[in-house]
Amino acid sequence: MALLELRDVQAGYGSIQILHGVSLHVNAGEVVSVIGPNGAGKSTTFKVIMGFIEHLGGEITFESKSLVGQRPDGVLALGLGYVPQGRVVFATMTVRENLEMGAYLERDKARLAQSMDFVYSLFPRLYERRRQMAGTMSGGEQQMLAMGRALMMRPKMMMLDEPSLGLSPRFVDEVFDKIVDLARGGLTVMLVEQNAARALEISDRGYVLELGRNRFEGSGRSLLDNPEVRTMYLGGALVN
Amino acid sequence: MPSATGAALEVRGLRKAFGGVQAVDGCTFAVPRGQIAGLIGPNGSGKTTTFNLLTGIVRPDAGEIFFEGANVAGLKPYEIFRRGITRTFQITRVFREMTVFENMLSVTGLAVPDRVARERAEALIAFVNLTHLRREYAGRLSYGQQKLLEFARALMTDPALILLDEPAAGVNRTLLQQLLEHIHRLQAQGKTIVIVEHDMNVIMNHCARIFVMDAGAVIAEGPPAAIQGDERVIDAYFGRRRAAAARD
Repeated sequence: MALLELRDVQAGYGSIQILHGVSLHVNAGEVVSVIGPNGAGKSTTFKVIMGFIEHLGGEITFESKSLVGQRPDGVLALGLGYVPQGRVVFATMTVRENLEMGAYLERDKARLAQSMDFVYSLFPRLYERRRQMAGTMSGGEQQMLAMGRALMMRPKMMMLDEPSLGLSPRFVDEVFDKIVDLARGGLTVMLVEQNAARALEISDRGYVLELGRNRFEGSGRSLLDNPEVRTMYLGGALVN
Repeated sequence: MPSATGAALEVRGLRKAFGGVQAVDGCTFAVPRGQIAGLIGPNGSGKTTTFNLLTGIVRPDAGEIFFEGANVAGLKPYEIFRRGITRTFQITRVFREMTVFENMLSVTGLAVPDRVARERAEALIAFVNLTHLRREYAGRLSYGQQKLLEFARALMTDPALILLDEPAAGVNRTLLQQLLEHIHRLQAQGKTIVIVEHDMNVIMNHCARIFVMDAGAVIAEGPPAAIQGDERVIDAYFGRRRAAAARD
């Protein structure tokens, strides 16, 4: 039984349709990557799951409950965490305040404190920097903070949109290591990545999207080794 | 030293950092006169920053930009524009509450009488097949039509070099086909065109020469078939496994 399942999902922005029928599933405990060239619909897939954009067709279920028509806070409350692209942290808030924002749906103070301890134990650096303004931290630290914030609701599954984008090589390693740690701890993970090789390397399975449709799927290893997947990024056959 | 190669545009060692991010890091390339060239690369590789440097919107930290025999690096946007480099934007920037015709005449610094400017505006509106919409507010045009308008407006100064930033994004197939035909007609008139574009069908089928950027520098150049088979380019787009990345 899949934890998250999308069947023939269509979505877009205003009059522009981006997803023309995407189907995928994520089983509990898996790490699944969604890759594909620009404009494939990777981030759009995440946004429609979270209820940020208009759903135009198809079915989305999480633990067999439909997410269609849910608002983002409703999706969060069901146990689906989301780390947006570009390390969107509250720059003028401290690290601690950012983490508190991640638990804004949590009413139980004791549980909030537990979550805070849990996140600090996963990211000791965030504890060290808890009083620092988030905007003054490096890109890699901000990415860790965005991940920690998404974990404050103790989600069953976390979706990460381009976690390595714009990070220096050292932080790229750190971010992928942390994702592997979280997965080993039992968290289900789905990630969208431009750096397909690195994402597939740590993934049980992957989906390759192109122009809003499924193109390839398989184990992380099989997609890594598929020359067709590698070259599709540079476009199809030449007309001439 | 100006180029002796007959290049319309020659960029050497261009660099620009924003805070700790080295967006453009020793970018070097030369675009032959009268060609349609493509500038591609993964997200964040420095393409748009390069366009911003070429048009003076952003001042380079280092490097040279030779155009028409002179180094234009560091000049003001309007100075570069008047020398004959023009551009369009990823997200169109038309004046929504002005008509199509008024948008065309909003271009300042034309060294021609008003009557000539009006005639030129009419001719360019016709060139992009928007004559039937010339009195319409630009904000009421479809997104694709706004792109055509922005493109036509960019031609008001009769530029020698035209930089197009993602012309295909958000444009339907029919309008895109029209836009590509216009681009080829400009090339036939001797203009040089550089296109930044993610739609590989556009790049691979319409550019004679392709420059590939990764991490702020040009890592490969050549005709489409060579670029499609270039392992360095494939790696830039697909990423590399950890062991392979660590070896560099």
